[in-house]
Amino acid sequence: MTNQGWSKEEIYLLAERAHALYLQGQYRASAVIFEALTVIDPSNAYCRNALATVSLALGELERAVTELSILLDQNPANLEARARRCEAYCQQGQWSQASDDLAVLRRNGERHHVKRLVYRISQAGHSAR
Amino acid sequence: MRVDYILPALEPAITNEGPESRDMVPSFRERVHLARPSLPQGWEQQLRLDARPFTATYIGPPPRPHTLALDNFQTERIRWRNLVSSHGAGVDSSHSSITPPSQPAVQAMIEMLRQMQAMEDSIVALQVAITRG
Repeated sequence: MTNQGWSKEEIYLLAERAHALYLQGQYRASAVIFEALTVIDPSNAYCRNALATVSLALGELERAVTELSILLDQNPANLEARARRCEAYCQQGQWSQASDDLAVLRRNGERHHVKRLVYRISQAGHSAR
Repeated sequence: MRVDYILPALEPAITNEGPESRDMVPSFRERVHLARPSLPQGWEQQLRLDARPFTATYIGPPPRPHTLALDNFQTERIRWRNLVSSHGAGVDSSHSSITPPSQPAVQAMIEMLRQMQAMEDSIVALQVAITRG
Protein backbone atom coordinates (compact mmCIF):
# COMPACT_ATOMS: atom_id res chain seq x y z
CA MET A 1 0.00 0.00 0.00
CA THR A 2 1.10 3.54 -0.71
CA ASN A 3 -0.12 6.73 0.91
CA GLN A 4 -3.69 7.01 2.20
CA GLY A 5 -4.54 3.36 1.69
CA TRP A 6 -4.17 3.25 -2.06
CA SER A 7 -2.46 0.22 -3.55
CA LYS A 8 -0.08 0.29 -6.51
CA GLU A 9 -2.67 -1.52 -8.60
CA GLU A 10 -5.30 1.11 -7.82
CA ILE A 11 -2.88 3.89 -8.71
CA TYR A 12 -2.14 2.13 -11.98
CA LEU A 13 -5.85 1.79 -12.81
CA LEU A 14 -6.37 5.49 -12.15
CA ALA A 15 -3.29 6.46 -14.17
CA GLU A 16 -4.49 4.27 -17.01
CA ARG A 17 -7.89 5.97 -16.96
CA ALA A 18 -6.25 9.39 -16.87
CA HIS A 19 -4.04 8.44 -19.78
CA ALA A 20 -7.08 7.29 -21.75
CA LEU A 21 -8.78 10.62 -21.06
CA TYR A 22 -5.62 12.40 -22.20
CA LEU A 23 -5.64 10.44 -25.47
CA GLN A 24 -9.27 11.42 -25.97
CA GLY A 25 -8.33 15.07 -25.58
CA GLN A 26 -10.15 15.41 -22.25
CA TYR A 27 -7.23 17.21 -20.68
CA ARG A 28 -9.14 18.79 -17.81
CA ALA A 29 -10.50 15.47 -16.55
CA SER A 30 -7.12 13.85 -17.05
CA ALA A 31 -5.46 16.60 -15.03
CA VAL A 32 -7.92 16.09 -12.16
CA ILE A 33 -6.89 12.44 -11.84
CA PHE A 34 -3.17 13.04 -12.28
CA GLU A 35 -3.27 15.84 -9.73
CA ALA A 36 -4.92 13.55 -7.19
CA LEU A 37 -2.38 10.85 -7.94
CA THR A 38 0.51 13.22 -7.21
CA VAL A 39 -1.13 13.86 -3.82
CA ILE A 40 -1.65 10.15 -3.16
CA ASP A 41 1.83 9.15 -4.33
CA PRO A 42 4.11 12.23 -4.41
CA SER A 43 7.15 10.23 -5.51
CA ASN A 44 5.40 8.77 -8.56
CA ALA A 45 7.47 10.25 -11.40
CA TYR A 46 5.13 9.06 -14.14
CA CYS A 47 2.07 10.77 -12.67
CA ARG A 48 3.88 14.05 -12.01
CA ASN A 49 5.39 14.02 -15.49
CA ALA A 50 1.96 13.28 -16.94
CA LEU A 51 0.38 16.09 -14.91
CA ALA A 52 3.00 18.50 -16.26
CA THR A 53 2.36 17.29 -19.80
CA VAL A 54 -1.39 17.70 -19.49
CA SER A 55 -0.82 21.16 -17.99
CA LEU A 56 1.25 22.02 -21.06
CA ALA A 57 -1.58 20.82 -23.26
CA LEU A 58 -4.00 22.99 -21.28
CA GLY A 59 -1.71 25.98 -21.63
CA GLU A 60 -1.04 26.12 -17.89
CA LEU A 61 2.65 26.76 -18.29
CA GLU A 62 3.45 27.85 -14.75
CA ARG A 63 1.85 24.73 -13.36
CA ALA A 64 3.85 22.60 -15.78
CA VAL A 65 7.11 24.29 -14.83
CA THR A 66 6.35 23.85 -11.13
CA GLU A 67 5.63 20.13 -11.46
CA LEU A 68 8.64 19.54 -13.68
CA SER A 69 10.88 21.43 -11.28
CA ILE A 70 9.71 19.19 -8.43
CA LEU A 71 10.43 16.20 -10.62
CA LEU A 72 13.92 17.47 -11.45
CA ASP A 73 14.61 18.21 -7.79
CA GLN A 74 13.84 14.56 -7.08
CA ASN A 75 15.89 13.33 -10.04
CA PRO A 76 18.06 15.81 -11.97
CA ALA A 77 18.95 13.09 -14.49
CA ASN A 78 15.37 12.88 -15.77
CA LEU A 79 16.04 14.14 -19.30
CA GLU A 80 12.45 13.73 -20.42
CA ALA A 81 11.29 16.09 -17.69
CA ARG A 82 14.07 18.54 -18.50
CA ALA A 83 13.12 18.59 -22.17
CA ARG A 84 9.52 19.28 -21.20
CA ARG A 85 10.56 22.09 -18.87
CA CYS A 86 12.74 23.54 -21.61
CA GLU A 87 9.71 23.52 -23.90
CA ALA A 88 7.57 25.15 -21.22
CA TYR A 89 10.19 27.85 -20.72
CA CYS A 90 10.22 28.42 -24.48
CA GLN A 91 6.45 28.85 -24.47
CA GLN A 92 6.76 31.28 -21.57
CA GLY A 93 9.46 33.20 -23.39
CA GLN A 94 11.96 32.56 -20.62
CA TRP A 95 14.79 31.95 -23.03
CA SER A 96 17.60 32.09 -20.51
CA GLN A 97 16.16 29.25 -18.41
CA ALA A 98 15.33 27.34 -21.58
CA SER A 99 18.95 27.65 -22.73
CA ASP A 100 20.17 26.37 -19.37
CA ASP A 101 17.97 23.27 -19.62
CA LEU A 102 19.00 22.77 -23.23
CA ALA A 103 22.66 22.90 -22.25
CA VAL A 104 22.09 20.11 -19.73
CA LEU A 105 20.28 18.07 -22.36
CA ARG A 106 23.12 18.48 -24.84
CA ARG A 107 25.76 17.63 -22.27
CA ASN A 108 23.94 14.40 -21.51
CA GLY A 109 23.52 13.39 -25.13
CA GLU A 110 19.75 13.68 -25.35
CA ARG A 111 18.77 13.38 -29.01
CA HIS A 112 15.03 13.21 -29.28
CA HIS A 113 14.25 16.84 -28.39
CA VAL A 114 17.55 18.69 -28.68
CA LYS A 115 17.46 19.57 -32.38
CA ARG A 116 13.95 20.92 -32.18
CA LEU A 117 14.65 22.93 -29.05
CA VAL A 118 17.90 24.34 -30.48
CA TYR A 119 16.00 25.46 -33.55
CA ARG A 120 13.24 26.96 -31.46
CA ILE A 121 15.58 28.92 -29.20
CA SER A 122 17.68 30.04 -32.16
CA GLN A 123 14.56 31.20 -33.98
CA ALA A 124 13.75 33.41 -31.03
CA GLY A 125 17.10 35.11 -31.49
CA HIS A 126 18.78 33.56 -28.49
CA SER A 127 21.94 31.53 -28.51
CA ALA A 128 21.50 27.86 -27.64
CA ARG A 129 24.42 27.07 -25.40
CA MET B 1 -10.68 8.09 -56.63
CA ARG B 2 -10.19 4.60 -58.00
CA VAL B 3 -9.30 1.88 -55.52
CA ASP B 4 -7.59 -1.26 -56.80
CA TYR B 5 -8.52 -4.16 -54.57
CA ILE B 6 -6.22 -6.69 -56.23
CA LEU B 7 -2.91 -7.21 -54.49
CA PRO B 8 -0.20 -7.08 -57.19
CA ALA B 9 1.56 -10.17 -55.87
CA LEU B 10 -1.65 -12.21 -55.97
CA GLU B 11 -2.92 -10.98 -59.32
CA PRO B 12 -3.48 -14.00 -61.61
CA ALA B 13 -1.55 -13.73 -64.84
CA ILE B 14 -3.35 -14.40 -68.11
CA THR B 15 -1.40 -16.84 -70.20
CA ASN B 16 -1.94 -18.03 -73.74
CA GLU B 17 0.10 -21.16 -73.33
CA GLY B 18 -1.15 -24.50 -74.56
CA PRO B 19 -1.97 -27.60 -72.53
CA GLU B 20 1.50 -29.07 -73.10
CA SER B 21 3.08 -26.33 -71.04
CA ARG B 22 0.69 -26.69 -68.10
CA ASP B 23 3.14 -28.86 -66.21
CA MET B 24 5.59 -26.00 -66.20
CA VAL B 25 3.08 -23.44 -65.00
CA PRO B 26 2.49 -23.49 -61.25
CA SER B 27 -1.08 -23.96 -60.15
CA PHE B 28 -3.06 -21.20 -58.50
CA ARG B 29 -2.55 -22.84 -55.09
CA GLU B 30 1.20 -22.88 -55.65
CA ARG B 31 1.11 -19.28 -56.76
CA VAL B 32 -0.71 -18.31 -53.58
CA HIS B 33 1.84 -20.17 -51.47
CA LEU B 34 4.77 -18.79 -53.43
CA ALA B 35 3.60 -15.25 -53.41
CA ARG B 36 4.29 -13.82 -50.00
CA PRO B 37 3.87 -10.09 -50.27
CA SER B 38 5.58 -8.10 -47.59
CA LEU B 39 2.70 -7.15 -45.32
CA PRO B 40 3.08 -4.25 -42.93
CA GLN B 41 3.92 -5.04 -39.33
CA GLY B 42 0.60 -3.85 -38.05
CA TRP B 43 -1.99 -1.16 -38.53
CA GLU B 44 -0.55 0.94 -35.74
CA GLN B 45 2.89 0.91 -37.35
CA GLN B 46 1.43 1.49 -40.80
CA LEU B 47 -0.48 4.52 -39.61
CA ARG B 48 2.60 5.62 -37.65
CA LEU B 49 0.64 5.69 -34.43
CA ASP B 50 3.64 4.23 -32.65
CA ALA B 51 5.80 7.18 -33.66
CA ARG B 52 6.25 9.69 -30.92
CA PRO B 53 5.26 13.24 -31.72
CA PHE B 54 7.98 15.82 -31.75
CA THR B 55 6.51 18.06 -29.11
CA ALA B 56 6.74 17.62 -25.37
CA THR B 57 2.99 17.26 -25.02
CA TYR B 58 3.13 13.49 -25.26
CA ILE B 59 2.90 10.89 -22.54
CA GLY B 60 3.00 7.17 -22.93
CA PRO B 61 0.82 4.72 -21.03
CA PRO B 62 1.63 4.14 -17.35
CA PRO B 63 3.92 1.23 -16.51
CA ARG B 64 1.81 -1.77 -15.54
CA PRO B 65 2.71 -3.31 -12.17
CA HIS B 66 3.79 -6.95 -12.36
CA THR B 67 1.32 -7.92 -9.66
CA LEU B 68 -1.64 -6.85 -11.79
CA ALA B 69 -2.71 -9.70 -14.02
CA LEU B 70 -4.18 -9.11 -17.45
CA ASP B 71 -7.86 -9.83 -17.03
CA ASN B 72 -10.83 -9.71 -19.28
CA PHE B 73 -13.01 -6.67 -19.69
CA GLN B 74 -15.61 -7.81 -17.18
CA THR B 75 -13.07 -8.32 -14.40
CA GLU B 76 -11.48 -4.98 -15.14
CA ARG B 77 -14.88 -3.32 -14.92
CA ILE B 78 -15.67 -4.91 -11.57
CA ARG B 79 -12.26 -3.94 -10.23
CA TRP B 80 -12.80 -0.38 -11.40
CA ARG B 81 -16.23 -0.19 -9.79
CA ASN B 82 -14.85 -1.54 -6.52
CA LEU B 83 -12.10 1.06 -6.58
CA VAL B 84 -14.49 3.98 -6.93
CA SER B 85 -17.06 2.63 -4.49
CA SER B 86 -14.55 1.72 -1.76
CA HIS B 87 -12.63 4.99 -1.86
CA GLY B 88 -15.69 7.05 -2.56
CA ALA B 89 -17.62 5.65 0.39
CA GLY B 90 -15.96 8.03 2.80
CA VAL B 91 -16.74 11.14 0.81
CA ASP B 92 -20.43 11.43 1.63
CA SER B 93 -20.84 8.94 4.45
CA SER B 94 -19.75 9.95 7.91
CA HIS B 95 -20.53 6.47 9.25
CA SER B 96 -18.14 4.68 6.96
CA SER B 97 -15.18 2.87 8.44
CA ILE B 98 -13.03 3.95 5.50
CA THR B 99 -11.08 7.11 6.09
CA PRO B 100 -12.39 9.80 3.76
CA PRO B 101 -9.85 11.39 1.44
CA SER B 102 -8.64 14.44 3.28
CA GLN B 103 -7.05 16.19 0.31
CA PRO B 104 -9.32 18.33 -1.90
CA ALA B 105 -7.61 17.03 -5.03
CA VAL B 106 -8.45 13.44 -4.11
CA GLN B 107 -12.02 14.39 -3.23
CA ALA B 108 -12.41 16.14 -6.57
CA MET B 109 -11.10 13.08 -8.39
CA ILE B 110 -13.44 10.72 -6.54
CA GLU B 111 -16.42 12.95 -7.23
CA MET B 112 -15.55 13.17 -10.92
CA LEU B 113 -15.09 9.41 -11.18
CA ARG B 114 -18.44 8.79 -9.50
CA GLN B 115 -20.13 11.09 -11.98
CA MET B 116 -18.39 9.28 -14.84
CA GLN B 117 -19.51 5.95 -13.45
CA ALA B 118 -23.08 7.15 -13.10
CA MET B 119 -23.02 8.22 -16.75
CA GLU B 120 -21.56 4.87 -17.81
CA ASP B 121 -24.25 3.06 -15.81
CA SER B 122 -27.00 5.10 -17.41
CA ILE B 123 -25.63 4.31 -20.87
CA VAL B 124 -25.48 0.59 -20.06
CA ALA B 125 -29.01 0.69 -18.64
CA LEU B 126 -30.24 2.41 -21.78
CA GLN B 127 -28.56 -0.18 -24.00
CA VAL B 128 -30.11 -3.02 -21.98
CA ALA B 129 -33.53 -1.38 -22.21
CA ILE B 130 -33.18 -0.99 -25.98
CA THR B 131 -31.99 -4.58 -26.38
CA ARG B 132 -34.91 -5.96 -24.37
CA GLY B 133 -37.35 -3.75 -26.20
